[in-house]
Amino acid sequence: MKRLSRRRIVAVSFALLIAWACAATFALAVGSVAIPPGNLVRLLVRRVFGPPAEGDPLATILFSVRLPRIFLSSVVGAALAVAGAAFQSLLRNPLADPFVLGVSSGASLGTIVYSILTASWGVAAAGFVFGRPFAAFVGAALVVAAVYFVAGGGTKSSEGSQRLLLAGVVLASFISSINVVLLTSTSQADLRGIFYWLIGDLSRPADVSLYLVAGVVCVGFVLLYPFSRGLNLIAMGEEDAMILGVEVPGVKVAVYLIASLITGAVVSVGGPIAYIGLICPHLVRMMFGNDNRILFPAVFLFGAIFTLLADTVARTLLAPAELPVGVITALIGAPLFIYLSRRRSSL
Amino acid sequence: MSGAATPVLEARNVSFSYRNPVVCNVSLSLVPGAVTGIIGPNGSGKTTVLRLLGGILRPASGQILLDGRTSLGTLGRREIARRIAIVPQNASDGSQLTVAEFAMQGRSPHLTRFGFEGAHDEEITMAALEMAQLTRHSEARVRELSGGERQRLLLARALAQEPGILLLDEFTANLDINFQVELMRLVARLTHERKLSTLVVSHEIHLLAGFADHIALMSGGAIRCQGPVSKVITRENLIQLFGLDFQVRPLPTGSFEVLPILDERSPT
Repeated sequence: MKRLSRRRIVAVSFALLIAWACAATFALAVGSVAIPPGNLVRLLVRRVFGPPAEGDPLATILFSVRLPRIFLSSVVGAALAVAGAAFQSLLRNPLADPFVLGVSSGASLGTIVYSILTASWGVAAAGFVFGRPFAAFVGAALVVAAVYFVAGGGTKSSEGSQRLLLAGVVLASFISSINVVLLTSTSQADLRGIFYWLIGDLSRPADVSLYLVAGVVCVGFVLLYPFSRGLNLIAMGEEDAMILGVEVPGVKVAVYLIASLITGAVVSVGGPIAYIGLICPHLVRMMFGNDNRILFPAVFLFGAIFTLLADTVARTLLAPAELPVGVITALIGAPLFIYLSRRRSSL
Repeated sequence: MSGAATPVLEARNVSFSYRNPVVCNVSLSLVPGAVTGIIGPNGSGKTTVLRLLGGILRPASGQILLDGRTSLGTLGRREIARRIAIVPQNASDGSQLTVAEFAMQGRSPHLTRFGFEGAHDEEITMAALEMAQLTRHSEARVRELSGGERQRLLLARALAQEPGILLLDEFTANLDINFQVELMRLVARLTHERKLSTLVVSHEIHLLAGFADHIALMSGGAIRCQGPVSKVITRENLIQLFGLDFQVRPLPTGSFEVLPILDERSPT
């Protein structure tokens, strides 16, 4: 009998961490200005051990532009991927993902409403770092509740879980329209930036909220992990999980809130990037199986790698012009969604 | 059967309703080493009684007591799952798991939050598969099993919980008669050998008349009569319950053979 061991989880996580480091090094080197490997190593070594390289343009690109962006894309990808894996177990449907379920749109709505309110009240939005991610979380949580309500409550049958998904898709498009109306009516100056952000974009200059978001995501992951075994059983069926000792209603509410929280946090900075929560868990399941105890850490790291690389493609494909990263993930994710829904596989 | 055995799990004057009352004032107790059967027509409330006894539903009034003192409502799901194993009517399919992995799920209530199944859990799981006669299938996929084997697997998962109490809901439904008999024989043997307190809910009178030690007859949400099989399984009681005539014949083993009389002259 094959049993999952802690050692396997640690080994897989370590391997993925090394893969992430390789991907990050690659992403640091490429871009509209290529930094040769020799220079890269020299700059990194000097940064860590030596005096700061004032005025070196390469150093500025590396440490003020690319490094924060790599960090940001990793955090965003990890969060969306693990939120997708959690929603899939919860709804027993491999097509569930924060974007498809409307959670991401809800988070954008929260962010937009927050920006409009702070602007109209004359509050300096940047001064209150917690506001944006918190508003995004509230938006995400409200949409989850609305999706639940529209779908008519319970997820007992597989039909119920399909209805939830459908309700999510419908509400997502509805809320996206509201978002566009809100944004257009407030005559914001940076229309291109907003348009990109609505598709999912990581090109905005990083600020202090990056650390806050990273903190929320890490705490969210730590809170989510203890539910992984219970979610394994819930993915089999709620009544079975209950019979086997899982406090099903409590676990469901907790996981919904945590997944909405981390989705909200990353959408507030990166926008509703599509399908990461669909693609990454699917690929990781093919590699490491369905057990959430190994899936969650693996998909967390894999989501970081995937989004980091997708963002690197987004900023190099048409360089010096940049695509929003959401375009790249949608180009990969939409066909996968169709493939998965045609195969009608279950978790 | 010793009538003096203390009930491990009992319902005292329990009622439950969704919109309409489903179960009215039911009292029933399970004792170690005995199979208790609930028989009744569809919609008589027997599954609801099982779910109340398993703590899946909470009674609107009355009490479910464990060991005659602890109210089930005060316990968490994990504590309940360590004592009571349920084989539900519509269990999850788990088709992509192996038989051993599926049965191992029964260890869940004994693991801590960050706990991983250890060698001890594997031992217990394999023993449970052995009891359910599935050892040679342990590495097969669940979807490869036949209907009867699947039911035995659900029993194995329940046994892996190391419960004192076993609640089986329509355990033999949709199976051929030979598999039904084989399963009930297995359940009765395990109950007697391992001193389990077993409840079997079924509408197959002939099976329960053959294998149960105690029987309760239910209709319209109430228990019409209960007691040892010899007292309960009588022609008069069955006519009242089902509106059909029956032939009831005691067997040398102490159990009963029950046959419905499918004749034009039977009273309806």
